[in-house]
Amino acid sequence: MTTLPPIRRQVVVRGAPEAAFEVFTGEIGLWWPVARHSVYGDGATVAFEQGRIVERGPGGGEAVWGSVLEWEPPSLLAVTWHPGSDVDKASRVRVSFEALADGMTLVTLEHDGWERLPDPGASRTEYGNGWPRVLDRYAAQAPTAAAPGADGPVWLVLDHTGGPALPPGEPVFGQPDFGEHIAFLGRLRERGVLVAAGSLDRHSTGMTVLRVPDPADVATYVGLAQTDDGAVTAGLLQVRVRPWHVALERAAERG
Amino acid sequence: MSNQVAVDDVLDALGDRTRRAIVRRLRGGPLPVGELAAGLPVGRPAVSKHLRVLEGAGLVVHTSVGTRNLYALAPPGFTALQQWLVSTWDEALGAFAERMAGRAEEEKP
Repeated sequence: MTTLPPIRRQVVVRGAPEAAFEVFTGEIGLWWPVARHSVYGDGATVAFEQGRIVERGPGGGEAVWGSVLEWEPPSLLAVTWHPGSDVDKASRVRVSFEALADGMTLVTLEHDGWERLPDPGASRTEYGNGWPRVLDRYAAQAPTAAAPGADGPVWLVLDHTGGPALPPGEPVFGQPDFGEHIAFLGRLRERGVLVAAGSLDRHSTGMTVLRVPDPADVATYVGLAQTDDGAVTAGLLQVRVRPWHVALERAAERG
Repeated sequence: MSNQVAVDDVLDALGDRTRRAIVRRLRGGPLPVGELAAGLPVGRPAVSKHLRVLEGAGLVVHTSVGTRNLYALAPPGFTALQQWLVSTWDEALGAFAERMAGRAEEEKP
């Protein structure tokens, strides 16, 4: 392991990329869970101010979480990320917004340089009793993004590459958890959304194509790609979901 | 909650400047203690002590080659740290998705 892969999380939200970018940045104070994830805790406020993300505590304290590196509305935002610690210990967070279908946006968050996360022990103390681990919450919340009236079908490509738990130099196929990936693909096939899946080389990259007839189900599949594939949750594989804007398809598939 | 214990160990292990420096150096490949210590401002016994902490947290493993030990980064500790960060972002993004959904409902005629 010479480099650690970025953390990548994806979620489907209702609204066009313009709205998603605006809410993510201009209205961060309205949705960020400060009670659980902040330096000052409940009662704190957070906002983008003059190129920085600034948290203010109820007692007047101020903590800078990061600075804007890239600002390209409505498609891309990149910031340094160092809540509760110094600027020179910053990791980097990049958020992209892609239109999926009418009134739906795929939000992709990538956090890299996190392996340099500095004094996480110290930050953890400042943050209270630690940021809780709530992996299951994601699956429960993702389906809130139904887009009534949007046209189907929606096509998705799942890009799979080797994850942090894959022993260096070894192919993914012989690993004990790889069977979990096959089982996940089998579940997608049973649901009738799997078009094709397979490897792109003999090591660890592969691709899966999904055709989701009802756009209201897209958020569910983006969530499942991250939470229902045991090889991904075990870190053997990483996944990136990409919208595929299919222009032509086999005549028999239409309708 | 055995995973939670592992994450705490990882966070505590990485909460030390020297141990982070060791992790950075091992990113280039496995090294014996002597070579690790040569590039660090602390002595060999201190490096050995730090390596034991890193090993206990699942961040480092050692293999014996002849009479010497080679130290290398180990995936389990990094996987635990990654999962901890993942849960954090999932919670934040979940809250963001809820806000967007609430907004869409408000805008309905």
